[in-house]
Amino acid sequence: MQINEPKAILFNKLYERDVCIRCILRLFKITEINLYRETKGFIQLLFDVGKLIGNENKLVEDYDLLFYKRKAEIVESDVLPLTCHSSLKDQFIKNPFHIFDKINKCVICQGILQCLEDQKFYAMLVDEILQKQYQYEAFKLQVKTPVGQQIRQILIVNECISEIGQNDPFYEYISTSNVAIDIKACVKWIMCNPLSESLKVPSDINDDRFQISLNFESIGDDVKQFEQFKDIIQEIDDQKWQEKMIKKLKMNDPQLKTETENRLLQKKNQQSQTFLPTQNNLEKISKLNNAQLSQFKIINVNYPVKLEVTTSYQNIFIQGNYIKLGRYISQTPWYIGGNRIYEDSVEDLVSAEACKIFKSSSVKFHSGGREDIDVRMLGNGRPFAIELVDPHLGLQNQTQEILNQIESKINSQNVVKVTPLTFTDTNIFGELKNSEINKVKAYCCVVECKNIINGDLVQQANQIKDLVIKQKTPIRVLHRRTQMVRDKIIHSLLIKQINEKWLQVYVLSSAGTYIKEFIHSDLDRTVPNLCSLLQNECDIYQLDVIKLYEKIDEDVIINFKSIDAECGSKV
Amino acid sequence: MQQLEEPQGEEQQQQQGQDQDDDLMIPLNVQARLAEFTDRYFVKSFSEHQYVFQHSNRLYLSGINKNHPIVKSDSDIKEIEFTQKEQHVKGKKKKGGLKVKSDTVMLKVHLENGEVYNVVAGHDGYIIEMNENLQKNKQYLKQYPETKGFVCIIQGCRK
Repeated sequence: MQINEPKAILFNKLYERDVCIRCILRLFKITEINLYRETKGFIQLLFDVGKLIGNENKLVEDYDLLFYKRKAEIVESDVLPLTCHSSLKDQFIKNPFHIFDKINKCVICQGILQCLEDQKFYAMLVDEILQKQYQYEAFKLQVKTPVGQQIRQILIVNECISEIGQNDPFYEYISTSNVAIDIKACVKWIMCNPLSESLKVPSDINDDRFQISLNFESIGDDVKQFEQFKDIIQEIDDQKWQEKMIKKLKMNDPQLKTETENRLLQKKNQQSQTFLPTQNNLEKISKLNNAQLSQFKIINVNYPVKLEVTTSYQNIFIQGNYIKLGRYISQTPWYIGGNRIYEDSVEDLVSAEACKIFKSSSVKFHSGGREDIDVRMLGNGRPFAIELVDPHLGLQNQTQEILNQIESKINSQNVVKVTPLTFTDTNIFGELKNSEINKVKAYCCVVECKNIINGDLVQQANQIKDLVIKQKTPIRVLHRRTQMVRDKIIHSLLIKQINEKWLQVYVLSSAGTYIKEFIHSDLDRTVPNLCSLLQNECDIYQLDVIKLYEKIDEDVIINFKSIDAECGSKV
Repeated sequence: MQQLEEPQGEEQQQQQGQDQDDDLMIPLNVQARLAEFTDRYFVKSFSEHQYVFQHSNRLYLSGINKNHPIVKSDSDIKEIEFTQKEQHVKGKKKKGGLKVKSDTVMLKVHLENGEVYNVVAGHDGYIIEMNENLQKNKQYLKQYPETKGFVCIIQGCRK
């Protein structure tokens, strides 16, 4: 690193103010990674800086070898540490750098960059990770740092520069925002190698499968730091609000104007009174200029930093087609007021075995459309995908044998069966959506008529091709669907008379058609319907989805006409 | 995976009805008719001349019942006048519906013989839909008062 006099003066100032050496290197935007790692080189650095400011040994004498900053006595903190902020959860490790309890920390990074060489810290970290029992062959490290460090950074840089009092292009460069290297990058540079030695797997930034997230937090410090800014930010917010109001209240009617104004005022006052350390608020503060910032200072609280270690493995997708041979099986578990309705669900039956093998924390079930509870799904099956969230044993189990095992386990239960499964990725969602919207479906149902059936009308109905029907939202789903009229197409009908009042009806229709409403007309809210076609009153008893087709063409209709030979649903 | 079976003759089906799972089979030799559509899903309640059927999803279907003078009279319906302004509901939550009380007059029915009858909403709440078929097929109100000739669908007051 090249040091000249202005740099050295600033270095000295920052050093005196208890900033650790790694933080100073960050502020100076030094990008050579080795400088951060080779801590033995710090002494030489201090020596060089000392020569330039004319006091060779002073900085070296004051140097605290263990913590890369100036030796300092324990100072009484400005604010007494109170009990923890309520948002800190139980899984946070309190004071991971347990050696750092009472000694003065770097004012910017609060000790994070100072304790990364501690062997006990790594031992604890590795212990935490191994406890969670994952299989992996490489890892990627993600780091989160406390929100307040950026504010402290800006404040201390501005203070030091204004104390020096000189103008230099380097000082201007430093005080523009977002120049300094982020603490997160620094932590990753320092930690990746030792961590990879302890875990015995390499660290690879391109391998997204296994991720370790370290979340450093010090809420207490951040809250106190942000509180200072409450008034000034409030002023700015009030100004912006006034400007917005002028635009929104451009109406002539005075009564409407006062009503709107009161409503908006109420909304504004409901917003939180405290100024919390959030990303939003951080952005507001970083828009302040240097003159405004100069009135604030860093608040020292001796809270130890807390650490949360989380691990996750990339989700695994498995896809296939399912058929449902039983009735009264919901697609996903159905609860009303805490009670489970219908013991079985397709999701449970299909994903139980996979969850056990891969040890996933949860599973998501996606399908291309769904059928009612009392409707069977036959034929080539409905496409579905299960997403295993955070599979602990994902690495070695992604083989065809495992899939075959899962498949035979599901099929042996004889309630829901699946086609050969395959692994897939997020592209499956497009296909599932496509299936829901575009596929043509064949159904078979049992229909009873009130009056004796007219055979000629049945013959006529069998000749129908591409009949357009208009369906209003069925009453049975009207409570949760939009009230609208939907145009659907009945491509073909095949009606067989069982006896004088009973029919077996095969329907080939576009995706999204409500078949039950087509049969019984839903109080004439679906027109035309089977009742009007047969001049009779019809009601439906059993419904099966027989087959899903990609699209409609002549072959499909011909296949459909002989479908009863093909699938033979049990009546 | 699929069970391939030819659809069997009627006698065999009736015999097999006893062997196979009763949940899946509807016995075809039942003499009595199974419940009508409106009986399967709705809980019916009648007042003197009108009815309110509550669906299992808590929507209300309301109209005149078969004891109403309109139905009993020999005279045909000349005109059905919708006394309330048409309001369309938007969205899943059915916003914008007309708020009614159970005695709000929804229809004024004029018969050929000059008699005029008021039909009220029957339940408090918001109107989701008026029966549009009554505009073209006035006779539904007389012939099928409890099914196709319903008057309106009401959503109960939100709590």
